[in-house]
Amino acid sequence: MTAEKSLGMGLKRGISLRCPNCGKGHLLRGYLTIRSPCEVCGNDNTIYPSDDFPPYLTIFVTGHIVIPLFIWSDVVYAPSLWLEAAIWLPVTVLMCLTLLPFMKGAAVGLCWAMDIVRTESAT
Amino acid sequence: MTCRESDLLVREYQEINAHLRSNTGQFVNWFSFLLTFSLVTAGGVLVLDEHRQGWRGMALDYGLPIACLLLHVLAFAGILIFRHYIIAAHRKINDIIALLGDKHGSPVPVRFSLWMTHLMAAGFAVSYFAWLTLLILPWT
Repeated sequence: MTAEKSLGMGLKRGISLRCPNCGKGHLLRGYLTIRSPCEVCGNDNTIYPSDDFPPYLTIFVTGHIVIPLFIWSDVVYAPSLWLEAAIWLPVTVLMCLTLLPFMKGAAVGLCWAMDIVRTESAT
Repeated sequence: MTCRESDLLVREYQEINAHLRSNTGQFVNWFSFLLTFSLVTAGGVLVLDEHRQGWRGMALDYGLPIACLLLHVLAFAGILIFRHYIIAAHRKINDIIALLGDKHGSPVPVRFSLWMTHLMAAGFAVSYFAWLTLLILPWT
């Protein structure tokens, strides 16, 4: 099904929430549960240990988007504190919740490309 | 299993245990030092506003924050590697205990250690974004 594994391919398929092995089947069932086996190629994607990496990645990406925008809006418009909190706290939470599945896909794709599997599954 | 093999396993268990204890202690000490140092330095940079002239100003505005951000990336990698090290040591100890025929599991407090590394990562995230803010502030 897959000619050659590569980091770019794994990340691209993972971020688009597709099975990293075939690029066609859906990676997730529901919000964050990994679908196993893949409905197209039958690959078991639960063996890839994404663990806590997706939340770290989500915080990293969200922070780099939200903090510059927050500082910029604070300097340019100087809104009141309650208005800033009313805007940026929900934006941050929504961005985290939106990005998390994609970051999970990226983490699974990364593990697939680098042949990182859970120890229990490897033995 | 012969007596000699059993002795070797016990010695290996003791070595792993000692290694884990020593490394955990050192890791926590270094982490605490780096986090405190980073936050105190960030505070220092923030109050040195009136000394930002010429090259010193450039170094304070851009050089130091960029260097600190890069160091934070290394620290994050260290935290991830440390998590894997704890889990690997825990599994190895479990294997040794099973080979020795003992019914008890590994005494390594894995869940506590993983929560500890979560707290470390949270501390570093706060420190990292504080430095990112310091880097962005001169642009505004």
